[in-house]
Amino acid sequence: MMIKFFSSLRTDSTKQLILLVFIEFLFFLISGVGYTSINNANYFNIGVDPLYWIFYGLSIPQTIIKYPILAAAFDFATIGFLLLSLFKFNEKWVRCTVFLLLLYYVTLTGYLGHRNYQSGFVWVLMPLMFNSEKNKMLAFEMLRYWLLFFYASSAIFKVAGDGIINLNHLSSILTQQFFPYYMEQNFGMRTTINSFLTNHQKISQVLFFGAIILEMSTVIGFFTKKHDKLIGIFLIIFHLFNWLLMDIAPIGQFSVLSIFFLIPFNKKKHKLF
Amino acid sequence: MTSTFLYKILKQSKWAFAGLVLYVAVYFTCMFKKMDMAFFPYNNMYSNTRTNELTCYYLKINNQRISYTHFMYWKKDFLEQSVTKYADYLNYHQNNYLSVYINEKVKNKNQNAVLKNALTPSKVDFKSWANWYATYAGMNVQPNDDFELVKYKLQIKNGLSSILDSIILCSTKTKNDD
Repeated sequence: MMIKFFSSLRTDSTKQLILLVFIEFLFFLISGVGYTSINNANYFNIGVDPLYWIFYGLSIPQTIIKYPILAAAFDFATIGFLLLSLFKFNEKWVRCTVFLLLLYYVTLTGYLGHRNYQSGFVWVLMPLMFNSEKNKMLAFEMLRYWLLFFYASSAIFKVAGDGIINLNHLSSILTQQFFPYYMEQNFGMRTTINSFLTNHQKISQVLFFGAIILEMSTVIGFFTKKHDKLIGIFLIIFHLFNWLLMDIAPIGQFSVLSIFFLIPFNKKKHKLF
Repeated sequence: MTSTFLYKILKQSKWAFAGLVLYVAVYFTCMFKKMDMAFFPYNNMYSNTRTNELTCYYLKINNQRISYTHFMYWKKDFLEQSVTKYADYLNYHQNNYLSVYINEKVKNKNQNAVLKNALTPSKVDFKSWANWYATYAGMNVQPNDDFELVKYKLQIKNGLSSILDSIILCSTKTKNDD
């Protein structure tokens, strides 16, 4: 069975995507932010977002976090449904998986106290919830446009903001990002780079322009799908530098970026699933 | 024209097309109003210059600061954000952003109470929060341990950091302990 699975993995985009999400979810658990790990947390802070209001209004995250057995059950259920989707693909399993991943994301970020933007691991499986192959493909295409807009709008905000004309913009952000590392005197390679960049504002600002260019490259994707792989590489570089320089890890976002590599949007007959 | 995404959606389902147009309209409205939601992200992070004041918060247990940068990314982020958000909660007289928002927008007392009860945590006292936080950070917490939530101001020059100021926001120590 395993040999059959691994041989199919080489050609099956669906399995590759689910496997990536599964690995990312394991990273969350290993990092120590699974339901079981954050069990008994007693302070949450959600913003003005109806999606969060539905879950928290029904007391779902609060109940899961309150009881250790429920926390463990939801950790196992999320892993279980991911494995089911991986080994016995069925749209019903995927729908359950997406619901559980969304619940996890809402719970994690609610108790974390702020919503970061590493939500790709939830969105990437949504197209697989549709039954027909054509609907799946259209949903992937919509997700692609959503991603392009997500990054392109970020670049536009950076161009429109006052950061672009302020020479010490990125260097001051970098200092704040690594503030706890200085505070704890945790000096590693990244803190050394950070120290260098905070003392060389011009180089920092060049990197800021570089980040804008990488994000802005997604605009090309609105006109052609020929350069999707290049856009995907640019975005991965952007995220890796975010981790290296800003201490923002891309775990949660890598799987969704993989659609630029795994989904052949250009083929007229999509025999993917 | 026939190869455009919107046309393909329209050809497949009129309802899907209408839903998509509605989504785009709501998204642009949210962006115009600078609203940030999970399905409608307002991704303007790091586009504007921040103030230069460097501050951060730490929980101290028996005068020992609980550090977190040595943890893996998500746990480090969770500990960093939790202590910052809880400090904000204390700074706002045990209110968080959403409860302030509800107070401003919902004037009806009953509706206000129902919404706050459902969407904001009930009063979280410092001792119980600190107990959870220290345990989560891997500390061996004893019932008579003392906790302090401290705000630090720091300056960094030539890669060297020095604490400019520190303020105790909350403490479980009694005056006799000092």
